[in-house]
Formats: sequence, structure tokens, C-alpha cells
Amino acid sequence: MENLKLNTLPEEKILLIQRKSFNILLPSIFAVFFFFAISIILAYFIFLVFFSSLILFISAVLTSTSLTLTFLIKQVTDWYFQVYVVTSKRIAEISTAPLFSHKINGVLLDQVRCTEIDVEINGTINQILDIGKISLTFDRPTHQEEFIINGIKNPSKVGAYIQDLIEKVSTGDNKVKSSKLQWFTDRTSKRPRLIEIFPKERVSLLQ
Amino acid sequence: MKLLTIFLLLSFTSFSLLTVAFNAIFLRETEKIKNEHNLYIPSYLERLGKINLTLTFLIFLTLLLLSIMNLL
Repeated sequence: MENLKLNTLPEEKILLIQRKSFNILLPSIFAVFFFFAISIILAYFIFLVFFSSLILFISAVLTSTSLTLTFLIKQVTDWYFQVYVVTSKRIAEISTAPLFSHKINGVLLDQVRCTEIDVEINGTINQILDIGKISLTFDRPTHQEEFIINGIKNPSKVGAYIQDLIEKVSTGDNKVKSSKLQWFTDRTSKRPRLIEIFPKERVSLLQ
Repeated sequence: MKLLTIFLLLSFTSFSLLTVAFNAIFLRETEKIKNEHNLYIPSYLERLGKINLTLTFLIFLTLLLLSIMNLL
């Protein structure tokens, strides 16, 4: 488990700490390097070809290196400081961007009734890397009151785990069967069995 | 041309100084979060921040030196 110190309530146990997948960070890192490359190319044409000044070219490269390093450190720090914490009493999102924002968004599980747990994996890359989001909807007339756990690895497993936890808290039963997200099967489990019900039509049943 | 070179060099130097200032404040703020909000920060992240601050400061010094050399 992540080495994270949190101020917990009495008799509250930290069950799961999940950070966004590092792969979520890769596009922004590539973007930073892309802009770095563009700035070097521009500096080459403007200062070396047009002005023929080596000093200006070196200065531009140094400035752009300095900016790239700063952006990279900021991206990694922001990613590191965003965690989802599941305890025996609440689910919380702790998100801190030093100098920019600080957010703690938590839901006390014994104060709400969870009506929906949706797991979503969108896009080819996310499918391959098994990265997705879990939306928890609480008992409100609209879907405004949602708790979204975004960009995490193994969303189906985590979703099932959270559903078990919410059920345990709401029923007060510690022996709730595990993994009740019936519409999702673990990727490592057996393939669905195909049976023929109607001629020419195939229906898949989960085993 | 000489004037433009000096102007651009000074612009780069001040930009770099801004980056150094940003990094220093960022590092201090991270340290503050570590202490105030009781969040664990791994040593590699702290080290990365310090290395970044040192590098940007060295870049600033180099640019300053280039500007002074060009001015004289």
C-alpha cells in the first residue's frame, strides 16, 4: 500500500489508495517534449539562419530547456498529489497542485445511499492498458451528485471492490460476497460460453 | 542588430529568472503541503525538484553571463 499518512476518523481503516495510472501522464509529457522540439527548431531558423547569432540561439535553447524542466516537474508533482482513498468509512479524492489548488472531496459512506456504480473504459489505448473511470451516483434526483474516480488502472476490479464495501457499510454485514458487478468479468477469467438460442443468432452468457 | 541582440538576451535572462523564482516558490509550497496536510512525499520527487531548481539557476547564471559579455 502507498505510504500515505492521512488523518483518519476513530476506528477508520484505510483500505485502498489508488493513484491515476502513470500512463495518463504520458500524453502531457509528450506534449511538453513536442513543444520543446518545436521551440528548438524555431530558434534554429530564427537565430541561426535568419540572424546568424550563435549566442541568441544558445540563449533560446537554455531558456526553453529551463521551461521544459519546470513543466515536467509540475506535471509529475500534480499527478503524484492526486490520490483516491477508500477507507472503511468514506471515499475521498485528495488533489493538490502546489501553488495552484488544493481539493479534498469526500463522501461518508454511512450518510448516503449509492444507487449506481458505473465503470467505463473508453478508447483503444485505454482498453489495451485497462484504464478507465468509475462513477458513483448517490441518492439524489439528478445525477449531479457523482463521485468520479478517473484514469485508474483495473477499473472493473476497483469498482467491484467499492460496491462490496458500500454494501458492507449499508447493511452492516461483514460477510457480503465479493465482486458483484455482474456485468463485468475479470479479464483473467474464462471466456464467455457461447450458446445457440435462436437459429442464426448467438447470445453470450457469462459463466 | 547589436541593440536587438542585447534586448533579446535580457528578455531570455529575465524569463529564466522568472522560472527560477517559480521553481523556488513551487518547492517551498510542496514542502508546506508535506508539513501542513500531512502528505508523504517520496525522496525522489523532492530530489527532482531540487535538481530542477539548481539547473534552472545555472541556466539563469549562464544567460546573465552571456548578457553581460554582450553588453561590455
